[in-house]
Amino acid sequence: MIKRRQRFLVASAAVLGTFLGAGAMTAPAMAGTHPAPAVQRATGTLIDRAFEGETNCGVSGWHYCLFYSQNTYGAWWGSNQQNFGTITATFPLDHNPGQGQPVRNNAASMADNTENCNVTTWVYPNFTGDFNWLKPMWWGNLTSTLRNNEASISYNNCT
Amino acid sequence: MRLGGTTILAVMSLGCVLAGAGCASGRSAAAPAAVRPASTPSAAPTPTPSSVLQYQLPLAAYQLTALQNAEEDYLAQRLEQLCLGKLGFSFLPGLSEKAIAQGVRITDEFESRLYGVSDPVAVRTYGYHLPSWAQGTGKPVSAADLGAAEWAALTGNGPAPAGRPVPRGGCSGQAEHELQQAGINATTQRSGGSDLSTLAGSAQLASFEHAQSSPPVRAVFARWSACMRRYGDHYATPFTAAADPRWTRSATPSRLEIQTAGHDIGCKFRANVLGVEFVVVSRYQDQAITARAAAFAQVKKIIASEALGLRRLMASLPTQPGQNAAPS
Repeated sequence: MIKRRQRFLVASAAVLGTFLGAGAMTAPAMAGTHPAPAVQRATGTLIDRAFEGETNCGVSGWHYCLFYSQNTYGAWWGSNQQNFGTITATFPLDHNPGQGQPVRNNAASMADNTENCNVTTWVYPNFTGDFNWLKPMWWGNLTSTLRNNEASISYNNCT
Repeated sequence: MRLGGTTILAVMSLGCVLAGAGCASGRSAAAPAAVRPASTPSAAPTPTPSSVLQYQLPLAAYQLTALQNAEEDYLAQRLEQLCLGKLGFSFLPGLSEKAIAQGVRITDEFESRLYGVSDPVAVRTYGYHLPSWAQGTGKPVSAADLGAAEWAALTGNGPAPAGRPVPRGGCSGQAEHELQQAGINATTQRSGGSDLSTLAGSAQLASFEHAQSSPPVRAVFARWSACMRRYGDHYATPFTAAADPRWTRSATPSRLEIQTAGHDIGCKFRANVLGVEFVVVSRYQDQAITARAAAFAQVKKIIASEALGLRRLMASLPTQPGQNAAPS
């Protein structure tokens, strides 16, 4: 049985705005005396767009791939290595747009070709900063913050 | 808990910072309109969380929780597994409801790295590296390793197993259909475009990006950097510390890396990086929500519907062998 963890509620800015509008002294009392709800948090950005399996990544048997262009077009690079704290690869010379260029800060879409792991890419090296992620066997376009701005990648949460 | 004793002060001061009014200075509440977004460092104390897991950003109300995300992950895989089981395939034999707790734990770790590493327990072993347990309990299996018949049953592409009718779109399509029937919008496009489901994620990423170059965050990074210099570490930001090639080029963390990561977290707490980031990111997120209030109200309804669907579907699934009833 999963237990929802009870964490201390600092309160969101939106909630605070409401509280402050009604009287600033109300907020701390409520926060301190009511049971703390399970804290909702943003969890990166899920970018699933379509089922993986028909891309070059799937056919080639890589666990995950990054593509130079959106919608898994253009040059692509794949790996079975769990982590890259810094993506150091270059797109192979495959006669596609982007070939021969560095992969880091140069990809627009990503594919997860595993059946049982998520794939995540971060905006900064060593898995820091905000991130985009995919569920098993999905591909998606990187969001504007991560597009041409991805620094590290891993497959994770394998079941 | 570190925040417990300072809650009242923290909440009040946070309100002052967000209102842009500076409560201590007695500025009028009518003043905020003149204040540039998240660009006014406040002398008022900000919250002092010791973990990003202790606070709730405004956009969290418009997104699934880590637990709900993990449940959705699990459900999709479990439904595929059940469907393929009826067709005679043993798909994801290692899958159990323990995957939900694992998913939450890993998401928590990723969240703790939003502003550079901040999980003191993890860095004691792993330094700046990702903890080994983030891989999960299973070994990765490439979809290309599935046999042709199982692949066809999963995707609906290719010849169906003899005498066994495969659902339209395969078991993957069937699972998506069942999730949708339960109110879980699994197939909605979540990247690019103007789809409502991309709204919160896009605003979240934008708020993060804008915050990192904002004056308050640049100022707190400067304080963090000065703190690090006392240890002989010269980094401009927590992100450049994590990006040190000495760490990224090494497969395992060195003693120096672990020590530096420990200093990093200590300085984050001393400079209150997490508290300042929270205030600034919150403000950007509030602005994004206000700017598209009607759309965000729709998103909130979608999320509520998905949450309800998740609860119902979790409760309705057959219990896996050797496990207790599904969590509600």
